[in-house]
Amino acid sequence: MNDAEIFTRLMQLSASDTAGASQLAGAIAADARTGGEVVVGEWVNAAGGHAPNLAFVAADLHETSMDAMLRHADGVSPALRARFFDLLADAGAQLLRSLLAELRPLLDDSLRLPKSQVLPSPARDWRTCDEAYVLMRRIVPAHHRQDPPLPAESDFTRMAASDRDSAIRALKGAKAATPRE
Amino acid sequence: MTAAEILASLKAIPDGEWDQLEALAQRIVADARAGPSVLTRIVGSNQPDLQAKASLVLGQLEELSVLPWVDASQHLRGEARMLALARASSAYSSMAERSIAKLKKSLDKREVLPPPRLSGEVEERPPRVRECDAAYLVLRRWMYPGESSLKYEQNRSLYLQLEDEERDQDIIEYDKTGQWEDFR
Repeated sequence: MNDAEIFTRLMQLSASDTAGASQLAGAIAADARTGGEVVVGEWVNAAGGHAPNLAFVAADLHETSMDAMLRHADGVSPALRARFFDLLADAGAQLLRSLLAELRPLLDDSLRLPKSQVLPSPARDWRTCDEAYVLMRRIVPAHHRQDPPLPAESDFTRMAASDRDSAIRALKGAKAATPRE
Repeated sequence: MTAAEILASLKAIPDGEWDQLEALAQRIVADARAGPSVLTRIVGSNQPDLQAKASLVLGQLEELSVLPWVDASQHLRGEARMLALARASSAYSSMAERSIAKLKKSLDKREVLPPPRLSGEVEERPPRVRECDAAYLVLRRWMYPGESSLKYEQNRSLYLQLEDEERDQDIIEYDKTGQWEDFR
């Protein structure tokens, strides 16, 4: 689908038409995943010869080939599965880096938020930095034993602002929340 | 590019022509990101009716929506910005969960993987890697993004010097606690 087609279909969609939105999303996703599916599909079926070429292209497809690798993972040799897992982790790390690059600076933003986008009933003095903390803890769930203890979301949301500030400071210094280069 | 065009391009590029292969990959990615980025532009625009509909559609693109939501957040402020980042985080988490669930299935598999093909003489044979070892090491990368590439390689190398029983113990320990330490 080109830009104009997407735009036209959006214009035709009514705001409450969730089925229509799903259909449009399905069509856009199918288009976006075509390349990944073709390359990964060929790689799965390659009898040696072209495999290095296909592996090279697949490694450069980033998030667009993740779905194809996950869907094929159960049906391939252990060696190819291990390769898929490596590439999935590479693509995942790129997504995470982009996300953390936006979220980390917000840990310094103490602007009050009248409404949380992640919690139904946050503290009355809920701030942008609190929201960023919750999101970062959600996307980096595990931690290194050398990191300071980081309050879980359920504890964090019940804390006073000064305690939340301490938790935010701890998160800023945590190795787990600094994406590797 | 259509599937047929991609296939034809793949077949036309001779083995080892890395520049051509890279250019092809870039074209595939640019095409793949075009649709979601139309939605990003609308989400970041001043057209409230279209914005809501574009958000609804973008919200269903799963892993394909992470970067578009991050892009959109850069043009938004306050709650709208946090909403875009919350959606990006949620899409990332879904993909991470799908990948980790697959990886965990491999933690029980002890089959030894074929060694990498090496050209010429090598001073040291590469270590023996089982499917569970490969899965465990990749799991570390998902769960511990703060580990530098250098540190990861050091830890990987130290882990692969361990005996199978010791590696198994590490895997069991990790599976139980979700934590790990650097290898010594």
